[in-house]
Formats: sequence, structure tokens, C-alpha cells
Amino acid sequence: MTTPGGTVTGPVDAEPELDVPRRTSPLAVVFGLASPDQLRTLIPLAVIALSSGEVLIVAAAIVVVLVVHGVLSWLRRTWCYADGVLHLDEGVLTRNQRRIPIDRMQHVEIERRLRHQIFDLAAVRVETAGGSGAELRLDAIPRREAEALRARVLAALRSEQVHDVAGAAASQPEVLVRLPPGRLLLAGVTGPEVAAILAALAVVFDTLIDIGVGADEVGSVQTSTFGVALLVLAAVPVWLGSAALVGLVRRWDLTATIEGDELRVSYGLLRKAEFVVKTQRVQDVRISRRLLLRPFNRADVRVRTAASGSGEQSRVDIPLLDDTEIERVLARVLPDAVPLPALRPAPAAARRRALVRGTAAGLVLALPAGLAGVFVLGPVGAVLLVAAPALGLWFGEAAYRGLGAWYGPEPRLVHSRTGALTRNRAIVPAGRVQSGVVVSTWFQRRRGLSTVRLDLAGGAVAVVDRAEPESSDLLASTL
Amino acid sequence: MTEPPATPEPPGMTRPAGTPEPPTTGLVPLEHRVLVLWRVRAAIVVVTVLVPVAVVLAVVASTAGAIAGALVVAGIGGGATWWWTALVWRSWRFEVGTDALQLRHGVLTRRSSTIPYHRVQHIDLEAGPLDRRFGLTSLVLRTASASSDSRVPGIDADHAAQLRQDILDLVGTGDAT
Repeated sequence: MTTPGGTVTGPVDAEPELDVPRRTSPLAVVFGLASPDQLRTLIPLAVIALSSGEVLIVAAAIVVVLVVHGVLSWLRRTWCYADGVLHLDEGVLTRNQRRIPIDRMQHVEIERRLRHQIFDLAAVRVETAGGSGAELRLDAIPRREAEALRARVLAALRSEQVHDVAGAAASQPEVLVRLPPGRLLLAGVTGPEVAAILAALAVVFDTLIDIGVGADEVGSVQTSTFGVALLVLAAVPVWLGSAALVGLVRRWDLTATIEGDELRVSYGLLRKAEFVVKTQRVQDVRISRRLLLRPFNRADVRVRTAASGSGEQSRVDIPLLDDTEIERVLARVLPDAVPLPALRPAPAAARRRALVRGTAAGLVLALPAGLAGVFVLGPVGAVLLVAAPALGLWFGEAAYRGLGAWYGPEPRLVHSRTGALTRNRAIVPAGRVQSGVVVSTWFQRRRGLSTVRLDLAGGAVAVVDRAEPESSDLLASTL
Repeated sequence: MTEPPATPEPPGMTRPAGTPEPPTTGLVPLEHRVLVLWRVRAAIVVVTVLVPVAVVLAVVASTAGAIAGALVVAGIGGGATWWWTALVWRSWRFEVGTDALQLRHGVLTRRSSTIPYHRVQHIDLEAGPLDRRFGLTSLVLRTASASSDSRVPGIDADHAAQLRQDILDLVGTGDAT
């Protein structure tokens, strides 16, 4: 441990020794039993238990098996970190010994859910590049061990880049962005929480109406459509309010810090997460402008690494940044990308393709519904039949306007923007592209268009609908 | 990317004396054996699917019309498969170049892939029982990206081992990620 300033540690009395094999916390057994994965495996077992006559006996047997398996696998699971290699030995029947050399690690993440915070524990996830299962997770280890492990990994990664002495010396933490609570509330209202809460609310609403039908006290309200409308109206503030609250709790005190070449993003009130990535390991950065937020000039920034899996393991989102904040983050993560170049629009042929696609999609979606509507609703159905292709046309135009690309030998970056409603601009350093392919469907070839797909470790980025000489040139100059 | 594209033999990538040049020069098609292999494979699938159906039809609806209909459908399906495999086979071109593998293939959706050797993590040679009967092997370059389109579906088995060695000699050092 050369740089103690590299971690957000509490008071450290003695550095924990990590080179002796050790078990995770015994509480990992309890956490494991209650984990969603475990519950998912329980569902088929529960079905078996219910379908067989002896529900209690089968259920008890299942619980015993799970507990015994949990304890055994906890006993078998030991880890240590020695000489730049992280060791994990585990497995009851199939024994598994994993060794991850430090220079293969993409990033280290410490996660502290509420249950971890109560017992002063932490979960650590180490990501490596590559296909599937290339990650290592320690579910519950003492917080101090987790922080010591991360500090050691980061210190080793730092000493690996000896030539980068200047950067290491100037490793004064610098806060890039800290989101104020107001913006976190907004993030909740505009983020993925909204849909989830709407679904939950629909269930509540449904039961409320069911209850209302039975009871006479509220009787006059629920039978009239006016009453239902009133209920819906009352539900809207509850819906948006709880979405905002969830957003606030989930991303509480979201802070992006840069220290030397480490980007650190920490957030959360109940589940505290801290994502640390070496900027050299960043695969691409994505700037998403959602339709609702475009007038406010706010965008979400997503930083991706080569880690396995398509989910949250390999990326971190910093929501609702304005242009100067985006440039500040980019300047440290992908310095070449600043200032952001203006994108070249897709050729006119791409607009015709987008319009045809949009209208066709509108027709396909509207025809069955619209025809049924004409018979049932009469004129309203006819309006639907006309409106859908018009909407499709508008969508096609929006999709075309979303297209844009920039690439250059200097700097060696590719920018690609796609999306009708949410416009995503991916920024890819050419040095990160593993391989590439120019794809043209039959419809594209008719218009002299093609799409370039750039394969990255842990994902791909498409540059959609470019005219032919440009596609090949883009690929050739990128690889 | 690190090599100047114009020079055929970049410095620092000299192959040991005695190993032959990369054996394909320019884009070459797949061997005719590959087409035969694909047709045999398709025939196996068609037979395993259609024979039970035909048997069931013969037992359940043992009218001459139903059986004739099934035969016609089988004939059309077989003919279409025969024709389609030829189209796919004819669309294939590949080149084992000096710094990258180039693939061109696809009938309706055309793909033109480039896999630079310095990105290669490892190389697989894959041959199932049927492939071995035909003396063919698939050559797959694995990069750090799961989505790379980097499979040459049928190369002479002896030639494939040689190609793999040639490519490995060109991969160079570095961790390629």
C-alpha cells in the first residue's frame, strides 16, 4: 500500500493481512439464502412441494438441503490476495480454483447494501475482460478487508504503469460532478424507476377498485367514470412522488471523482455502491439525450468497461449532466473527445429509408387495430388508421435526425449517434475496437447504404446508414 | 492500426525462416466440398424432421392426397434448401492477409468483416464428426469481443492447422485488449 489516500477508508488501526487464505463472513450463508438467485431456484422446488401431498415435509427437506449446501459452500470458499494475484477457491462437489492476475482486472466495485452496512460488511466484485462468468464476487467480507483489497489492487495497477509517474504524483482527488438532491429527484421522475412504480401502482389501484366495488361507503365514487378519473388523478402525484423518492434514495449523493487515472463514482443511501475504473480501461462512453430532457439540455453519461455481462456490472451511469459537466467528465475519461465534434448527418438516402421504415412499422401496428376499430368504433377507428402511419412518418423523421457520425484519424475516435426518442451518442476510442464488420441488408444496398458494427470487449457500437465509401473507410481507418 | 497498411511485411513481425507465406492471396472462395457438406448436413436435418412427420401422416391421415401433399411440401422444402445453400456458399470470400482476416459473406444481408491479428486472443479449430469425414475444419479467431464475426466455416483440415500457425506468428505480443 503506497498511497493510503487512494481509498475512502474510515479510521484504520492495522492494515488487514490479505495473503492468508480466509473465509468470507459467516453471514454470507444467511445473505445467500435470502438472495434473489436462491429464491429463483426455490420457485420450481416450491411447485414440486405444493403439487406433492406432503407439503410440509418436502418444504422442510428443501430448507435443510439449502442450509447444508450454503454452510458447506461457505466452508469451502476461501480467498486471498498475494503477489498480484487474487485467489478464490470454492465449490462443494466441483472444486473451483480461480486465479485472477492483477493486470487482467477491469475494475473493482465495492457494494454495501443495507444488510452490509448493519454488520459493517461489504461485497466486492472484481471484473475481468472476456466472455461469460469472468467476474469474481465476494458477497460478504469485513468492510476493512474489502477496502484493503481494493486499495491493494489499485496500488498494483498504479505501479504497473511506471511510465505514468506524473499522473500518479498528481493524484489529488478532484470532484468532477456531485449531483444536488433536486436533480436526483428529477432523475427519479425521468429514469427507469417511473415505469417500475407505475406497474406497482397499477396493482394497488386495481385492488383498490376491487375493494371499492364491494364497499358501500366509497360506493358512489367508484361506479362513475368520473370517480375513476378522480382516483387516477390522485394517483399521479403519488406515482411521480414515489419515483422521485426512489431516485433520491438510489442515487443519494452521487459523486464522480477523478484521482490520478481512476474514475470513482459513488452513490446510494441504503445500497451504497462505489464503482472504480482506471480510465485506460474505459471501452466507450455513451451520452444519452432523452426526449423529455432535451429541452433542458440534460443528458446521461454512461461509462463502460470491458467487464463481462451486459448488465450493470460493466458500466456506471451519471445522470442528468449539463454540457459543461459532460465535457468535464469526458476531459478526464476520454480526453481526446473534448471538445465534442459536430456530427455529420446521415445521407439523404438514409432519410428515405427511415421514413419508409417508420411508415411501414406504423401500418403494421395500426392495420389490425385500426380495421377492428373501424368496425367497432366507426369514425374513431378511421382516424386511428390515418394517424398511425402519420405517427410512423414522424418517428421515421426523428430516427433519421438521430443519426450522426464522426470519425477521424486525429483524434482516433469514432462518434456514432442513433435513436429517435432517446438519442445515444457513443464515443469509442479506435484503439478499443477489436474487429469490425460492414453490414448491408438488401434494403440498405438498394439505397447504397450500409452499417458499420464495431466490436468492443463487452459490447458493440453501430454506425448506422452511411453511404458506401464512407463505411469502408471508417472501418479501415479504425482498425 | 499499429502497422502501416501499405507495407506487406510490417517491421517486428518477421516470421521465422522456413514457414511459408500466408497461403491465401486476395479473396478466395470456399472449396466445393463445403457446399456438399452443408447440403448433407441440411439433408440430415430435413430427414430427421420430415420422416417422423411423414410416418405420422401415413398413419393418421392415410389418404393418398395427404401423403402426396406431404411429399410435395418436402420436395419444395428440399429444393429451396438445395438452392439456398448454394447461394450462401457462393457469397463467401475470405482472405488470410498479412495483418488481418477478411471475410465477405451473406445473401440478403451482406457482411464484410475485418479482424486484425493483433486483436486475436486465441484461435479455435473446430471440426464435428461430419466435418472430419469431409476433411474440413472451421477456423475461428477469438477476440476480446463476443460479437466478432470471425469464423471461416470450412477449410481443408491440414491447411487450417498451417493457417493457424501463420496467424499466430503474426499475432505479435501485447495483451490485445
